[in-house]
Amino acid sequence: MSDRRHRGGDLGHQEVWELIPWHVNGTLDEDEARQVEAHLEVCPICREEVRSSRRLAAAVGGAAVEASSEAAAERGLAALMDRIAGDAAGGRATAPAPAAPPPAALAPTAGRGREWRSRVAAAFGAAPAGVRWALAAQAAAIFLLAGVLLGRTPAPSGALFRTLSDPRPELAAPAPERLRLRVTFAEAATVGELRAALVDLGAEIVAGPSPTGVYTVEVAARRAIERSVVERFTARPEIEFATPVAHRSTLAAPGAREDG
Amino acid sequence: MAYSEAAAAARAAPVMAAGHDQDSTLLDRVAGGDRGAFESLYRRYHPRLYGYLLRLLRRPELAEEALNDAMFVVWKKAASFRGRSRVSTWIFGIAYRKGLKALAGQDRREIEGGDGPGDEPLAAGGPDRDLADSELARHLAAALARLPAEQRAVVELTYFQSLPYREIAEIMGCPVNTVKTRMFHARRRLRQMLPEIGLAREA
Repeated sequence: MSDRRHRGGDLGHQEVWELIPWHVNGTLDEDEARQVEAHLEVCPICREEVRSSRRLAAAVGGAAVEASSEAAAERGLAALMDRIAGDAAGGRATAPAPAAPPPAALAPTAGRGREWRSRVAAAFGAAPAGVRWALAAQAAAIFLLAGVLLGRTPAPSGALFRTLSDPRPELAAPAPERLRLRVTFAEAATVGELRAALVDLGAEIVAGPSPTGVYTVEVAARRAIERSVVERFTARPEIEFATPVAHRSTLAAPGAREDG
Repeated sequence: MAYSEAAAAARAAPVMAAGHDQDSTLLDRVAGGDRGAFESLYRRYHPRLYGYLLRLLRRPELAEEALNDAMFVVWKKAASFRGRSRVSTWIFGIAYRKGLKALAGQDRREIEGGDGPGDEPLAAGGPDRDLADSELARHLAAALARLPAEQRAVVELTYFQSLPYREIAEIMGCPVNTVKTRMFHARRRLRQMLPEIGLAREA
């Protein structure tokens, strides 16, 4: 592999190249983000690396691991509380407050959603006026686009900024004749072009963007023709990468979903 | 695209750290021996820690065990948390060390994807994505599994948990350059192993 081939005297390039994963996940500080952006303007190799990193992020997100579930959390918690009780009996004095339910305000789902949202908001908020931060700008524009397409404000609590691989999707399972895909959009595409592409494909944005700029879209199609659907998507220049959402229905019963 | 307008819209989003404040409040109460607060903290962190440890360890039972070992330390050491880092960074750091310990106690080779040591592509498919998608997911999992745990952890913390590299360095207890180097090697190896998702494309 020839990734290091540019290091000769070009530290700037090498440093930017190393920062790209964190450019893609949107966590660089203001100064670094500006430098990376400036370098991307003039460096096709790094631009390709950004695209490549997004594909990796999207593909990895499609590879679901076994989901955590509330039931598993409660089982684990019960076991740990037993251990803590045993430990306390063995010498440590603590206030006996076994198994008190958490206050509603601290319900885990609400807190988790807020935390990710605020992290992304903080990252985006750090961009100074006038900085052309493509990822943030595109995310915001597509966020607005999604609202236009769905004719409503797509902001159901924690559903906006989920991690790409969140194994516990807040979205209910899609209807039987609906396919769900994760997509990333070409950075050069305008909002108008994206809208046209989504209309052509009969796709609706149902969630996104994730911190890495990935959107979840739905189309009317059966699972059996999944591959041709993906081909139709990736044939569009506006769409950079598309991958089906892995068999969500096997992860958990829809009834077990959280509301928040 | 109207970049400045969009950027302004993004900035208008509420910028705050409610989650971190909640973490701190909970941890303060945990430090005082409040089990209800500990249970809340546990429920908050279980999904993220479980996903993180499962990708690191690849076995549900190991992940559950490491998770509880880590949260037991959180319970015991809450009073010694000095707030020099964020609560989430501290907890993930503990989980990372417990995860490595769990790996050390196992047959590492078995956990880390068998005895195929090379970086040869995992499938013959070209970048035309002509693989079944379930196969692609499997190859990805296998490719990640072939990375050393330290590299896998960086990929996980970057792409799944969306953390800044400085925080990853804190979690892993290493210099930031080590984080970048681990990611560099992980990227290189993943693209060698996964030509079918087009990562090997060169400019």
